Amino acid sequence: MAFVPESLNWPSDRAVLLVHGIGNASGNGDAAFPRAELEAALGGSAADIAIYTLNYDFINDWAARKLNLSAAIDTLGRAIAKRYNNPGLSETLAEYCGDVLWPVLHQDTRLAIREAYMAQLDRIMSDCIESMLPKGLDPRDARVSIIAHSLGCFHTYEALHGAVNEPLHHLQPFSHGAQLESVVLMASPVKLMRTIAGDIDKLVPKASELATMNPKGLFIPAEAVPGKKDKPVTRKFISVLGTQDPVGGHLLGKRNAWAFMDMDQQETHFVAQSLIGPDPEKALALALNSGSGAIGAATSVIKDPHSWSEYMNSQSAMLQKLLA
Amino acid sequence: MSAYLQITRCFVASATIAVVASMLPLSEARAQAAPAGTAVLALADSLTLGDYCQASRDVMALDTVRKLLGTRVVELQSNVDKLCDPRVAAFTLRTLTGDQPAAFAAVARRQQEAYHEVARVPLRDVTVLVDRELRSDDDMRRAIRAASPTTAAPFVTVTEVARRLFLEEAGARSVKHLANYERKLGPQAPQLNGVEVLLNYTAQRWIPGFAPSMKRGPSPLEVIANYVPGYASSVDRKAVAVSASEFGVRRYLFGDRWGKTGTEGIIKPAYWSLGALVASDKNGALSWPWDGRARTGVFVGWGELKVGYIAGRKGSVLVTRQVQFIPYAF
Repeated sequence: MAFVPESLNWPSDRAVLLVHGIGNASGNGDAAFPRAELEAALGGSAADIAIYTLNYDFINDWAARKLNLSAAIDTLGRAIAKRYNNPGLSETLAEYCGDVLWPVLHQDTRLAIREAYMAQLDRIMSDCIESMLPKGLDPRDARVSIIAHSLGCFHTYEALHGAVNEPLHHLQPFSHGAQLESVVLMASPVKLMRTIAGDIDKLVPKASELATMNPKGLFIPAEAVPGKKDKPVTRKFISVLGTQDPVGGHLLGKRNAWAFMDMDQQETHFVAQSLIGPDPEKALALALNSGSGAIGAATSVIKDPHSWSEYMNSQSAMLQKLLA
Repeated sequence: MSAYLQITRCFVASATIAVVASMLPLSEARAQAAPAGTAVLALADSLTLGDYCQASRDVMALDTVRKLLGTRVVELQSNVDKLCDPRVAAFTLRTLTGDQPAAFAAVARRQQEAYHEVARVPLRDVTVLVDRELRSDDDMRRAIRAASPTTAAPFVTVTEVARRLFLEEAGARSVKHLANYERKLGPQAPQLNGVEVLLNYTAQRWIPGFAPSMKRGPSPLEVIANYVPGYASSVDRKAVAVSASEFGVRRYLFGDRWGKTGTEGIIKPAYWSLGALVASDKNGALSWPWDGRARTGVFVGWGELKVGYIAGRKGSVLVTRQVQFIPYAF
């Protein structure tokens, strides 16, 4: 079935796009997105905000059916296990993170997801004009934000660079007036992907086209403005990381520099997480196996440190301030 | 109808929508929210390049704006003047995307030729320049609104209608690329075996024409290296199964006209294929193609239907349907 970007009539001048991580939307559909948690955080303002969701799991499903992905995931798993160098957890981490990282090895999948992302952003900007102009409001005063989780952060990072570097999408922050209000990445694996993909760079197709693997490093993309300061793609770039979440760059409370995303102008919020029980390694393995970051995973006895719902709940005050 | 009359008409319509919208409670408005509609986009069929030009000129005439623009005003002015050229001013904004060069109903052939002559430097570039200079900068926007709200309003409308048009075009391009990816990877596409996954991965990296591109979308080409145990042939008027190996290329047919399903799919399939065929002279559903006296021929596929021909073999014409008998294997 052909992809149709979600279209909404904006109640006011604000919109949020939720971008899920791996495997969240295949089985759960709309329930894959922590909309209830976001609305709870926004309180009365929720009714004023158009909340979009980007579901790209159907593209992952295409790839899973068309190709045998286990070889790609195994290759990544080995590279991840080597990096973590923790015999007790290597297998779990390799399996867990391999699922997150495999799109770097399949160019068709990552470009297809990017097209879906760009089409959705174009639709959001179009909806903005269609909703605000008839109300006598200037669409350039609109406030559009993105909240992404896990693998969705990677696709968001790539899409933001695409928006700035490819004028065809008509999403440049200065030339096309498409600067975003804020981008919030929760449990971002972007640095982890950069490092692991760098370890196996010979296997990564068209690595030069991946912003994640740019030799200059990770940075918030900005469009050059003649005679003025470059205009960044977003006014605020926020990274939210859990202290026990390996996808975000922590292992057993310790920060791994090679997996921790830290860019200029990035605002970082840490979520203090704790693992129950005398054996933290076992607890983490159990926690990761409990839910794979899916919605509702945090309701199990052992909390998944990668749960999007929990991230959203922990940041309700920040989200309220940012979006309401 | 004058430019101002048209813009005023747009605003009357806009105000009506706004009043109706404001009468609804928020929750109700939200329930009725999706989708956003295309009323603004439709204005691209009535607002003209001349309207765009006039609204821009009015804004550029404001002292504050001239002061902020400084010397850049000269370049901007000369670019904006291109839209006021009488040979193009009557064309609608829709013409900027090149979809409908003759959208203006009464246009004569002579005028269309003139349009293309004037538009040799794409007129949409002028709108991008206007956007950059007068709409994208926050200070400039505030200054225009403060200096003259009545001048700002038609300018905001006409520039946003043009922007809406370009966004529609960009979004449609992405959706089209995605539809092509679906044709190649989606549920109706042939599955690849392990060897084909590796070969296609290699081809995409090192053989021109096989890699996807950010600008063009997926490549229509795919390498075939398959063991097919399900060919059928006729020997002594009896149907027999033949196993064969295929080596070739599959070419996907992109675009709305192709990729049909059911009976229509026989005429307008999603792909065709071509390549070499190897089969043993021994028949059998799971026989080794190189067993006995292996022979080489060709196969041609039209959608799921494939026909092979191997000269000198008993049962030289082979027929099969594209199907993967064992997932990821063959």
